Amino acid sequence: MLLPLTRRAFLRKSATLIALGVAAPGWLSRLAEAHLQATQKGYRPANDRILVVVQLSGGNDGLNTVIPYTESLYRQMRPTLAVPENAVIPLNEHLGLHPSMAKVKTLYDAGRFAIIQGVGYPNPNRSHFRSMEIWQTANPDSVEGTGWLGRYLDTVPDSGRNAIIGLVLGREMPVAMVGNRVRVPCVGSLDDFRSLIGENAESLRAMYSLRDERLRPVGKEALAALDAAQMVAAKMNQYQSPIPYPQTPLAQALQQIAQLIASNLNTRVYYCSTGGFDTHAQQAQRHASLLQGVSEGLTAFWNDVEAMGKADRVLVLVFSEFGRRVAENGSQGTDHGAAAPVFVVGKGLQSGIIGEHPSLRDLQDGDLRHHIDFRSVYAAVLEDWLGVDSQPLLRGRFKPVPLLAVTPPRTTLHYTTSLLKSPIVR
Amino acid sequence: MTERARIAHLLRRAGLGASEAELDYYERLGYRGAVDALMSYDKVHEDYSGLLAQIRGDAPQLRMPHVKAWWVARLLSTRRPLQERMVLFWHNHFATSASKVNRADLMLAQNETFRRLALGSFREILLAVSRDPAMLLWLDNHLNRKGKPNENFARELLELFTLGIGNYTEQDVKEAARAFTGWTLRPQVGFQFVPALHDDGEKQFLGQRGNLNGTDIIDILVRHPKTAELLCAKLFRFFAYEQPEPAVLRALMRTYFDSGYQVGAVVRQILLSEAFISPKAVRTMVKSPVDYVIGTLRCVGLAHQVTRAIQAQVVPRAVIALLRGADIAMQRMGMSLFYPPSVKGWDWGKAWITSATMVERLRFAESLANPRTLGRAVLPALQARFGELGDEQLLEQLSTLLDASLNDDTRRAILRTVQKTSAGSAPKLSTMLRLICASADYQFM
Repeated sequence: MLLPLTRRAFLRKSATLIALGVAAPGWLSRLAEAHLQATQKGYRPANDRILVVVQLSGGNDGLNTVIPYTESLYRQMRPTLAVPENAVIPLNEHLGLHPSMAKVKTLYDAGRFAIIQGVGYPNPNRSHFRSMEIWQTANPDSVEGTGWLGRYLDTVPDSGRNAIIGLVLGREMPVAMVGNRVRVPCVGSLDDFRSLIGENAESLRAMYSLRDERLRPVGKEALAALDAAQMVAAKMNQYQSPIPYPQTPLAQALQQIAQLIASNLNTRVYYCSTGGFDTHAQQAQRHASLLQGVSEGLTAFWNDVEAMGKADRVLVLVFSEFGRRVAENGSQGTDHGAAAPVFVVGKGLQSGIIGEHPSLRDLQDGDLRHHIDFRSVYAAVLEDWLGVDSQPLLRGRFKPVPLLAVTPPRTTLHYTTSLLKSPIVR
Repeated sequence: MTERARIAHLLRRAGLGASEAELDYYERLGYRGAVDALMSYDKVHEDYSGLLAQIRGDAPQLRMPHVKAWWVARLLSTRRPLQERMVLFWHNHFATSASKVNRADLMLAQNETFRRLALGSFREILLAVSRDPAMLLWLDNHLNRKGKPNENFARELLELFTLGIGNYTEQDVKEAARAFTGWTLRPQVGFQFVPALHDDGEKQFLGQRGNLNGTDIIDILVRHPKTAELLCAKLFRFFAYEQPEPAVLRALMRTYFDSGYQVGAVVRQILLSEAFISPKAVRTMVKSPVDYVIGTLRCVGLAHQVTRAIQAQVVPRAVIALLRGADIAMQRMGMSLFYPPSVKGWDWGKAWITSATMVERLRFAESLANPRTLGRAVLPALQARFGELGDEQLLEQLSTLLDASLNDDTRRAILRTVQKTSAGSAPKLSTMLRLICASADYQFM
């Protein structure tokens, strides 16, 4: 998986991409050397699967994304917002995609796109912030400082030694990626790392290695950036994507993720998000362009992953904090709702549509009822994709949804109970 | 703690940083006098009337970059720092983003409303915000009409602006939305109440029944203990530290009610409290991008350039570039003024620091120390003033200038780096400036 690099090849690769501008300092080649040795000693991650999480912030209107287009109630409750039957992209005789999702339909037809319907949790919370926190921490019952992905990353062997065991594309840290032990870096754009390479780095490193308790967390964030920059500089290859990406922030983030995947960074989880889904008013056009952005971004990313020959290793999960009210409001928009579909892009999916569309006749306070707990989706991702026991990570046993056709044997669990019981600190 | 140290703390938290000049000025008034002076900012004459036009130049339309540069100019040059800090507080509390409002004039007007009511009555502020055109557009209340209410404004009013989550029911949200039907906008006019769009029916809100309208809802909300708790705790957090002690919070809530919801009374009590100048507070708060960027620029004297330009009624291109640069730096650090990430505002405190934002702070420090970028306006004066000093004295002087308090480890690391720097490369002063601003210590206030 990792090609041995000669010092010269290594320098050439890092120099072209990172534009060092100065001769690579000693530590850079020492780092590459150390990594090479570790690889030769047989160090391998427990498995090499990658999860990419895409967060749609604001509450995506699931009902206008995966549309029960033959349902008369749909048209009654959405007099101005219902997508006309002849515009829907049909998936079967009942369900269709929003017309701006034509690209995703090609993934669906190729068996690379799955819709998990009616996902939510009991007593749905209609606050953006609380509901997002619930999805990210996988805990609807109490406020908690770690996220489901951070807790997963805590269990990955040697996670502490990999500076980019997980990576957030963006400048804010989602609680989903906060673990008890791991520190996941955030990066606005890979270009940002440039300033951290070179003669500065060593003196900064010394300055940020602090003993003082108040200062240490800040120093650690800076060190995390320095470490991540080093690692990227050492490993980034010259992969040139043959796939054109749209010029949206989401697509740009996904393109950088693809670049990192192509560089074999051993990163397990990538996280990115895109906003604007809180469509309380004049929703139709806005929502169409949002969905188009998601559809085109995801499709470009997936085609890229296929083109680099890594489709077997990558799974994408797309979620939002809630769906929207079934009946439209008086401003051609929709208010906060409950259950909504979750999307998965990947190879080896069991089927394109998982679960039933929630009934429009049996609403809860005007909202769709969930029939799949979001933690069952997470359980499938954790157990059947990442190969770990989900129970301790999700604080309970949730039956995995039937997502993947072939599920791997369960690997040995690497966490200890004491770790998982350790106090929750944010 | 010396009086000067206490006043420096006051200026970091209730002002926009403790520059030497401000520290000298307020020190003469004593701590209590300094609090009074900061709070009675009406007595300080400021004239920004021509500024926006100068920034706008001959642009056919007022656009957000003009408004952003205008606020940055005020933040950099104001002699009423507490007033601007309160504008920031309200901008974060009633977080409205130009990304959706899409009207620079309305974003400007909202900012001026926050400035006008900065330390005023919370009831008045809530009423003004509920009628504020930018807010009406932001949370869709301009489209909220009888029969088909839009819940967006009502929900955030309860969840974020007043009671806080968990203190109301979904039914309360729906009823409050009905009460605000007909609070809408008329083009070219602004706020307008349209009776035909208003739902006159009976509503039940937080246990009260009647034909309630938006003002009734606000009256019920301002006198609710949960509103007092949320606002007082948030103000305390903004000025002092994370968790106010229960007794401290209770005392603030009492003041909120006794004063008739006067925000100024609550703020004064915070600033005069023992908690505020306790070790738990001093230098424990992570600087927001405004504190980091604006505070640094005010300390190194760049503010004077802006002040001079404003007084001369001519804002040169270089100063506009500086304003833009400061705005973009803050944006990259996670705080784009007028563009909060959501109606909840920004996450403050430790959340400001991620590996990505630390990289941005590093970059800012580098550009401040670079004679070809921001440093061009800073380094010559510093060189003239401190150029002859030995390493340790220089570090001491620069730390004082920047109001930085460096830990021994940090100081040693900086001195070691400076001593390694060969004479010909970056001058010691600029290396030191860069490292102080990049240090973990300097991220705290």
